[in-house]
Amino acid sequence: MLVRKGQITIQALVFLIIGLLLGAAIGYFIAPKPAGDIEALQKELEDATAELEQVKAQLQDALNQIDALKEGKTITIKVWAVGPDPPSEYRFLNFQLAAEILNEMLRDLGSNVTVEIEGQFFARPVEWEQYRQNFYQSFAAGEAPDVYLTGHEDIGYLAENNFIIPLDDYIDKYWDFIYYDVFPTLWKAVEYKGQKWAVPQDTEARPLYFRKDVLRQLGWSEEEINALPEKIKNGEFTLQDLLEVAKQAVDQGLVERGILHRVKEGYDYLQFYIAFGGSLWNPETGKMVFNTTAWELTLNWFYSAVYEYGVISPNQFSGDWDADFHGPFTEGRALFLSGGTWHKGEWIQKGLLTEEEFQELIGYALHPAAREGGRPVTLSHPLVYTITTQAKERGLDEIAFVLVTLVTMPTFNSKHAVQSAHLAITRSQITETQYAQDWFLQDVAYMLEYTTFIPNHPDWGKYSRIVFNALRAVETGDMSPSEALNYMVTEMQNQLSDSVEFVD
Amino acid sequence: MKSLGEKIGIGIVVAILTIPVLILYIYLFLISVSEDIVGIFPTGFTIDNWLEVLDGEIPVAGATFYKYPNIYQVALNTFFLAVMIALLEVVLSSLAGYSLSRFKFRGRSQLLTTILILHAFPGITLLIALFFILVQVGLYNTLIGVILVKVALELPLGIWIMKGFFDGISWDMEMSALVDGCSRLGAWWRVIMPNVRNGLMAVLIFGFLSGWAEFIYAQTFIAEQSFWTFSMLVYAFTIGEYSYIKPGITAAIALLYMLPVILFFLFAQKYLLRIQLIGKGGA
Amino acid sequence: MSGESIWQKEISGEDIKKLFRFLFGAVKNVITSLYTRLYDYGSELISRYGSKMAVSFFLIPSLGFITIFYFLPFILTFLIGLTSMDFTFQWSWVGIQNYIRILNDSFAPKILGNTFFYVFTTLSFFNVGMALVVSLITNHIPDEVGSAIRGIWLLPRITPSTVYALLWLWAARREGNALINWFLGVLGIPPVDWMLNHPWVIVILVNGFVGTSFGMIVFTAALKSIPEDYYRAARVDGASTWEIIRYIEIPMIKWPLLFVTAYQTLSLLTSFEYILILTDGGPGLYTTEVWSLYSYHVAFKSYGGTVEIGYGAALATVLVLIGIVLSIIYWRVFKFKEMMLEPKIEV
Repeated sequence: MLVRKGQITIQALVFLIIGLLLGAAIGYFIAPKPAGDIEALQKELEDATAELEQVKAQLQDALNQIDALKEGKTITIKVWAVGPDPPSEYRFLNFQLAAEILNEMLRDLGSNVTVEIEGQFFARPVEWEQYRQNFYQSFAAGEAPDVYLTGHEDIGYLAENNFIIPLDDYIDKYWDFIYYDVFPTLWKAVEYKGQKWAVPQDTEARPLYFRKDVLRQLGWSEEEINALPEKIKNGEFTLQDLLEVAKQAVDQGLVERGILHRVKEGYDYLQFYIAFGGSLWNPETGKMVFNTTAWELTLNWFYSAVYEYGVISPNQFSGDWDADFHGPFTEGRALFLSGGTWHKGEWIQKGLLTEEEFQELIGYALHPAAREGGRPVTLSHPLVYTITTQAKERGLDEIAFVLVTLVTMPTFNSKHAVQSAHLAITRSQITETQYAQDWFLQDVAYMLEYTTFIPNHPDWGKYSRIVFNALRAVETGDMSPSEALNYMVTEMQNQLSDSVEFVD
Repeated sequence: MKSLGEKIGIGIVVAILTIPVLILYIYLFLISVSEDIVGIFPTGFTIDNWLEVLDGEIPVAGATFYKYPNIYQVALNTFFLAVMIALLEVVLSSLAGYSLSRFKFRGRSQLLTTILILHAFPGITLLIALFFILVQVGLYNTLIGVILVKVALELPLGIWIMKGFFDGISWDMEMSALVDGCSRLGAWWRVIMPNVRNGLMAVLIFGFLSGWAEFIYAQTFIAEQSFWTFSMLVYAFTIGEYSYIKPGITAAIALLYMLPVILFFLFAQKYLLRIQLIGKGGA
Repeated sequence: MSGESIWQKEISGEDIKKLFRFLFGAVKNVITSLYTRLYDYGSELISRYGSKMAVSFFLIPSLGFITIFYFLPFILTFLIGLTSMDFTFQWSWVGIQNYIRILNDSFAPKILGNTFFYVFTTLSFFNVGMALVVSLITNHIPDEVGSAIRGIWLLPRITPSTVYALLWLWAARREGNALINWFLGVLGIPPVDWMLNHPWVIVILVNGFVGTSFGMIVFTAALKSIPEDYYRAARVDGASTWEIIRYIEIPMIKWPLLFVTAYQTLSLLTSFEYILILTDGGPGLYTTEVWSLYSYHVAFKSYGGTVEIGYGAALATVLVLIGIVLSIIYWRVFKFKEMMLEPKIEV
């Protein structure tokens, strides 16, 4: 027990300590946090600086005209980018690099404005749902980021509800820097009601991966294995053949699962619907399309894959990315995998496969056509940078756009593309940067000719959700294909009567 | 005097009743200090996992630069959350408890009833509305928002506990102490405090533990990685790429997180039991 | 006092204990003095402005909190449930359309069934069942051992949820070397993929282990308050332990039994935290989804951005209403029991 006389002094001491601790804690939380570790990125910075020398002069002209850069202070641009695959971190990091270079240019211009980047990169365990939810919540709280990376299909909803601003004027203004070089099809992905609402960040193709070693065990010769992608491309190997080959492998006990596909909601499985003749939207009417026959065939295909051929697990849509997708395939326990080009990036980055092992063991092709002589398919899901209306309110939209422009430059974009195995968005990227040395990305470039995009419709999310529920129910056996079809039609009519047209 | 047979019988009973609970914790500890797991037996005693955790930075599998939030930052967040909840709860509930116990005023019994009913009510059902409120007030994505919500939802319990303790001290005791010549302060110190102290400690500990273990509100209301608490970090390893984080590291972090809980468990069990007795139940 | 400087003195265990005692004492002192000052201030207020002012001073902070963060949400949940609010926080009144949608929701029946199954099973096996078993058994063995066992059963509840779920997820892995499967292997049973094929088992086990402690403590307190005479009389009559349990103890704890059942029912009905961490409602289509989790998912999780806060609030309102009704019933029925459970001051 403490002596009474000394009580007050001890109290004072304890008060002081607690006060200091609290003060330190509060100070810590209020202080702005730097968004990353610049020193580690120095090497990357050198590469990028070299490339930008060429456009520096032009950029400085443009910078001279931006009002917000006239006053001397620190400007903070908030950027949000998502993977969710961890290798895609450059979607955010590139902005820090770009800001460094921008600051250098500003010094050269004699300006004492500094641009800082805050925000973060969202990767697993955060998934798309939470990422989008966080965005809408911050927007409602008035704290939305200035640059918001998202899937292009969000543009419809974002534009209609005033989350983002149209970028036509800026794109025209900075056209000669890099935008002239972007693949024309990608501009289609960012268009909504005749305006461009975002800048493409990357794209990918979704190949059908296969294990060459399992095919060898099935008795395929090297030539046959190497000819498979070609056969798929020519429509000689169809979805039916896919089921049968997978079944052989499973029956012979070579693999546990014949075909793997994504374990959460997404857009990959839409390729099957496209292969069966469906389309997702009608550019003339601007409405989404529901092709009843194609969906029926798709549901039946999945159903038979699970229950007649036994090549897809009934719980594939509720699995775990590692245990039911990456793991089984990279360890040779599955034959086919319907995935994306970025998965190769993930497998290498995580050390699941080395480059040599990948070349030796894994092949990749388009998704097969439905019938003989049909056209194979793949899907691309470009991610795009948008600029929010709140950025405009803060007067930061043009600076944010300048940063986006810098980040679209080939060197920056290739850092991202190569590490995460996404595809190029500009022509010069393909030949002039480290992209050119990536044999995989060069190899899959042909797939872009066969690709489709999902529509930029504000109600796309609902369409996607209904489709996902139906497919999952068919796989788990909760609904038969015909019940699932009825469910889809009913829900489409209930929730999307204005936005969807039905085609037989 | 117990016979050997009886002792063995008791031993078996003890074993059956406690092993299912304890074995998971023992396993956790073993994993955190082992290199690998062969069969169910951890092999290779090592403290490397702990060293790596104490280093602070844990890289995200697949990325070159991206890392999980620094462990010390996470610890500070969790501590801040727990301490603020505990302090606010102690102060507010003892004030309210005292007034409900001592003062007569109009509406007192209705208020008491309301608090009782709120005590039994599951606050988690209000998650959506709370989220809405926080966003409107601008406290979304802050630890303060989580603190305020948690304190409000646990106040009925705190008030009830404190009121109970204050009830146990009759006016007479206070009066007689005063009559006997103590100053108000003396009366307070000698008569009231010893009895209420237990209540204060109970509310304090309860508040701290509930804040320390908080998950669902933090998960829903916080988006920023730099505000993550321990529970969210462990969650990231649970559902995320946990196969690429060595189980040893996850186990070490989980044990670090559990440290205050274990300490309270060993040294303050009587408070915990008391709280559970009065507290809300449920998973 | 020796001539040694304080820096050279070796630190012994005693010193550390003294340090902790000092710190602990210091904290207690701070709180004490805070109290003293508040108490004095309160008394001053009373004498100067009368009781009303003092009461306000004491009550307003708490009431403020409770009003904003407890009462307001009640009303808001109901109101939002009447709108079509989505994630842009824009809304329009749709009246009872959301509720009609609940009735037509294709998954609602399954989720409702899941909820009842979950509540009933966890309640009977663990929250009441195991709690009863543990408290009865520990009542008949030496007290130190008994309290130790009860103390251990407190662990799952105070362990942070993500950690405890993680432990069980590790134990329930599908490989043969995971704890549960290894144990089964010893018994000669092949490994089971729990999370995929029998997710309910794990969900109920985890929630059950966590929930057992509440009932256990209530029952133990009730059992310990049974007068010794009963036991003596029974032993004199030659009753066996089992008969004592069956004819004396269980009948005497009828009220606590009812109390625990009622309270835990409400609690289980609305809790979803562990299910969220363990299975997130899966695997498969809403396999382990319960009503409260469904409401959470609808309001917060959507891949294509189709989050519907309005609909989620409507689903939650159902639970809120049930909660209010049950809470009021409990208050009525258990009012006296509530008093009985007030803490008796033992220092």
